[in-house]
Amino acid sequence: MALITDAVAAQLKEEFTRLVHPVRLAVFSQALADPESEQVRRLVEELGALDGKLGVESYNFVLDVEKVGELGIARTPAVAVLGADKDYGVRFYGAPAGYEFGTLVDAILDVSSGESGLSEPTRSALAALTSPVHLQVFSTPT
Amino acid sequence: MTSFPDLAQRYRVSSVPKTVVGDAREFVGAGPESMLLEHVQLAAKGGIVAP
Repeated sequence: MALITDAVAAQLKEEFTRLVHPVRLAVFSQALADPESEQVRRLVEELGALDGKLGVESYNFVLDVEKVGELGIARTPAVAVLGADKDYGVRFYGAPAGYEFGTLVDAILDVSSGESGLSEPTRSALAALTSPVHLQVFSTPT
Repeated sequence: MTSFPDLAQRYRVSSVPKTVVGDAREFVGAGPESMLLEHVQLAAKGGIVAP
């Protein structure tokens, strides 16, 4: 049975007409230690099938050690939202449930556009940073 | 938040949305872009980068 209903799929297809550049979704799950993460994998695979600009790569958090290291995945479930040839560092951890599903869709649209939405002065200031900064936003699915 | 109790505890997340910048700077809710930038700049200077 599909996790994304026909009605939601139609809505998402409409949203995805705004996609500009291709986006790769790398989803990490592990069936034994985190069964919920398998649901997220299924959800992301269904999501990725809705538009030709979206691609899904499914990885096992335990077995695909190289990919886990390459993308800096810390836990499951995880979705790395990657530009076609650029990793903006966007990682979504946990189940994209409730309003957080919209957050994941927004992240996909943002990565696809390549635009941060930040002002020019902010972008210049960020470009001048000399060391990486880790940003984490905590939310609850409602 | 409850999905990752270890992180919620480590960063003392009691209300959301909570943003943690670097490992030592944080704020709850939304704020102006300039505030976020300042947090990021200070975190970069502090050289504290979470794994």
